[in-house]
Amino acid sequence: MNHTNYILKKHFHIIILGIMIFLCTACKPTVQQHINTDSKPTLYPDYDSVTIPCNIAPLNFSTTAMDSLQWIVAKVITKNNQEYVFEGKNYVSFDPNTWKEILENNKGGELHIQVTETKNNIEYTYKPFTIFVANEEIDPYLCYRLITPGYRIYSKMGIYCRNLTTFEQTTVVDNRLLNANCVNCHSFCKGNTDLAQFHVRGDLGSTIIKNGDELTVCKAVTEKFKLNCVYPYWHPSGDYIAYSQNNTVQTFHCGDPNRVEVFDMKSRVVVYDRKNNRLITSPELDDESTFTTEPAFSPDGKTLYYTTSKALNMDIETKNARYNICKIGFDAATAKFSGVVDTLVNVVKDSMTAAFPRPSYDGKYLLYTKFSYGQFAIWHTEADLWMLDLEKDTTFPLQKANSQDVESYHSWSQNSRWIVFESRRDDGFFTRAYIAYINNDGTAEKAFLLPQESPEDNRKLMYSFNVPEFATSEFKLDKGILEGKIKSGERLQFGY
Amino acid sequence: MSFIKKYISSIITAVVVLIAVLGFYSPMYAYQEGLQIFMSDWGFFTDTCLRPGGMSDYIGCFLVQFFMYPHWLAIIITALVIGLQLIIKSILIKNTNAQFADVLSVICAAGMIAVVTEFNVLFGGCISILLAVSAVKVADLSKNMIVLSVLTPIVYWITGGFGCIIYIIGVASGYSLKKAGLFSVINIATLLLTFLVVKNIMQDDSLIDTFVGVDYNRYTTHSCKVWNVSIWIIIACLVISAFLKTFQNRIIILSLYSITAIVLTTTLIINYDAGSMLDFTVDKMSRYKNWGGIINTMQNRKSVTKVSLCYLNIALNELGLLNNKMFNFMQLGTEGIISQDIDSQDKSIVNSEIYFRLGLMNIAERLAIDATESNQNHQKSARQYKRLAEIAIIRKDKQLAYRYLNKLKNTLYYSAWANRALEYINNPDKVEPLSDWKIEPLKFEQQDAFFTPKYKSDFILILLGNNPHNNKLFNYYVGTLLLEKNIEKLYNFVAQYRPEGDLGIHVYEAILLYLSLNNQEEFKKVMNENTPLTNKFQNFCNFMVTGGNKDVQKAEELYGNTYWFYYSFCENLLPQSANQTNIYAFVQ
Repeated sequence: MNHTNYILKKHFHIIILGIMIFLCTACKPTVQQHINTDSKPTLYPDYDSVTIPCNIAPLNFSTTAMDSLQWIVAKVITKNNQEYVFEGKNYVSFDPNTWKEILENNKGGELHIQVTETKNNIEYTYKPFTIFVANEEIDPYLCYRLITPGYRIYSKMGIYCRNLTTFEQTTVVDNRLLNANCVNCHSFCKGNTDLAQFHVRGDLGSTIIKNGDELTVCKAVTEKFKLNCVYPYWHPSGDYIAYSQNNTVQTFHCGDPNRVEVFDMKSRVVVYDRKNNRLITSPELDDESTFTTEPAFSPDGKTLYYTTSKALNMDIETKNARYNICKIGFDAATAKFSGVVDTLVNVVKDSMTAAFPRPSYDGKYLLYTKFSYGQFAIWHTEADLWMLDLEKDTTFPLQKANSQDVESYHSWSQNSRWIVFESRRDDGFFTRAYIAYINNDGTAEKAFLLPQESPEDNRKLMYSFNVPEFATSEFKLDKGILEGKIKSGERLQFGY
Repeated sequence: MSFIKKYISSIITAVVVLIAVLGFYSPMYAYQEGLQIFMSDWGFFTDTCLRPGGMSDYIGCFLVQFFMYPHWLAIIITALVIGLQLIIKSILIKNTNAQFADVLSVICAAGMIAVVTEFNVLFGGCISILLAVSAVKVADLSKNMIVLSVLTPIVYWITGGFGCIIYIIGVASGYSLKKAGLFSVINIATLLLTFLVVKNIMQDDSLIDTFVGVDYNRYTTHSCKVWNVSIWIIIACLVISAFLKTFQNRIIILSLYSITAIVLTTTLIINYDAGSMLDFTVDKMSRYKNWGGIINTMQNRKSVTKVSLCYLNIALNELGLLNNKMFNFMQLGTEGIISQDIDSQDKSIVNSEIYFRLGLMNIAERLAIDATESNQNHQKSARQYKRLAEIAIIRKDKQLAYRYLNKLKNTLYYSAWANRALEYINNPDKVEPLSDWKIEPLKFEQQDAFFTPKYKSDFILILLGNNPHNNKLFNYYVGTLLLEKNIEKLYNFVAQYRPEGDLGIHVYEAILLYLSLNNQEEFKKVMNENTPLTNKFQNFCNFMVTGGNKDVQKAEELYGNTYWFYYSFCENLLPQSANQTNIYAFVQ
């Protein structure tokens, strides 16, 4: 073997590496001019000044010039003045292991990120922006439905489970498994996916209750309560599930930019006693003169929160329907209600309405959505997140988390430090999941968009995120068993 | 000459396909193009192909893009059918004599012709059959059973379960009986094993869906009998050729050709839905805003559909002819102008067009989404994405427009339009907008309304009340009143608001009719003016009282282009005494 061949063979991998580096750097554009700007970059997604959990997946980002970028570089400077550089053609992609290391070493601190982008062979360097790293972790999973922002007709939809520490998303159930029926309203007992429920609507209509590996397919409509069970909330013991029962109508605005109006013609709140397979309620929760809906148990299970309004002729009084948040006592041992109702949040006096009361797991706060009328907030651009401090009995908006567009359907992490909610702020039409940090005083920090592997994924996705719920473990179902049980037609009839 | 003799059956089959496709079914394929989207990005490829049969769907979806163009359409469909016929022939010819192979291949091709002319069929299914028989041909390159068995999972992945069965039977038919049996057993076992592995990995689809793979049917709730017939024909022909290796009966072969021709022709005639073809034809014209073409197409038609009427009335309104010409055409009541039934996909599409043209963007948007979500095979629609992008552009919802335009940029035929739209929204001052982007959305400063098309004219009146100077809306309101036969309301509206300009001949016809029935004094005054209109009305009344009310054909011949004919004879909403003599008797 001659000398040249010997060198090539010995250093083959180095040569290959060198060629790759050359090729990579050869992809970088030739910079003809450098400009240092005094402004921060216009990020996409907007991660400037957000507070993130110390175990979140990398916040890969770009700028609003993503489509015309030739190159982008992010220099991350930590509290110890350590620097990390990440770069890419259209977006900054953080190496997952390095990102994890950065977050681990900077809990409670700040990351300063300086962005340099190249467009038209001109390099722009911006002022650094900041990301705050919280000490607290976030629940490792997020479950949500992906559905087209459609109206009466839907095709593909499903319930999905996303690992928040990575970008992995798994399919829990795709409605193509179930004759294209609608799947909705997934809910877990304190984030534990071993105790879960969701509904199927259509010709295979049913309510599925998961207990460990066991799936029970139920029929929730009873002779006494002729409506189906809709919005669920688990009792912390797992022995009860609160439901609303609603006769819901959807109609469409001709001119209002809110596009859609969804309202109840009738509703009540019931609680499903799992041990005795029966639905229970009380006169306060099942009253013809009121609409009562959206129940939620307190973390100690002794109180049931819900929203309620005067019953109206909704054909003509749609814009007069306004709900307050009330509470009633519940005794899990006897499965009885106290009969005493307190109004916790009176927004009706301000000609507003409230929806989806959700208590934090530490029992200190109650998060809800406030908007101008009705009980279905997601099509109301004015809908914002508000907090009730249960100890001080004060309410305030989550100003930093809210936006000019709708915020709705929210869920708490188990440590009560994080909330996730739906927002249409990106384009006014498709909802996305946003996460915000809750301070000790109940105020929120700026919300950040659920990170994706590429920022482009947010723009490409033609589905809306719906009912985002934190979970402490991956939500898994045996689809073969699920399909078989649902299609068998056998149902456990709810009693009463 | 010998070439023609050798391929005469293929040539005749190709001619049949061209006549059927270009002559009769061309509009259907253009409509099908509008029900899907094909994107050139990696994400679309993986989404489509990462399941059994996905590759066939991908290729099918790619080719359907070209269906808007008759010449490409003809080439593709002909290539599919003749390709299938020639490949099957070359497979069968190994088993049996050339003549028998020829007739069997023609029978298979005839089955495929019946399939491709069925609206419910998805083209990916057709491609899967073609690829399956092509795999049988490729298998000729090797006689090694092990190699061919290794191909089985690959064929399953590309063509789906039924395609793989065709492959197995096709290859087996080339072996002796014993070997064929062994090959079939091994490969069916391989197929089942592959299916179970895939099912376990995917855990997304149901048992049957994972096995079948390819989307054969557009509407999953309506399975296509043609598929059952066509696939089993191919399987039967492959099996028959293996058993009748020396079959040479000329009379039977000629009879088979004849029977095939008769059955195919009968099938095509029975399945041909002239109403649907009319709908597809005018729908395609609407996509090009060929309003004149729509009007010409609908001229002198003895039978129409509600969908085609909706397009006709849109076209008349766009050209400002609605209230002058609408009764020159057969009208079927208010469902032909503003549909209350919007549950079906075609109704969603046409009604989205109606409201888009009127400027009611919320509803146009909603119906465009409904139209795409109606696809039971879960395909999205480039056509509807284009419409949604247009609505977002009109509303100046830049971010929302980007979302749709970024999808359309990755398509073959919509990318140029999408790039133009992107240029416009990024530089609205420098780039000239297309005419549709300048449509003014309706305003609702006075009072918003819920969408209630079941209230017909009352619903449009609310829209008009908010937009009193909108001519298109005015014409639609008046047109709806005319179709509702609500001439009293029409008269009161005109009398109260006294709109300026020419209201349209049909409006004057209706007013005259109203006066004749309700206000003799005013009626006599008008009649004394002795205008062509009043003279014609006089003649009409004379005709009706002298037995004309019983002679619909004559009435149509003489007065078919008037509102009076519609009022008197249209079966929908027939007023009590419209075609009786006494309502016209006062004229004497």
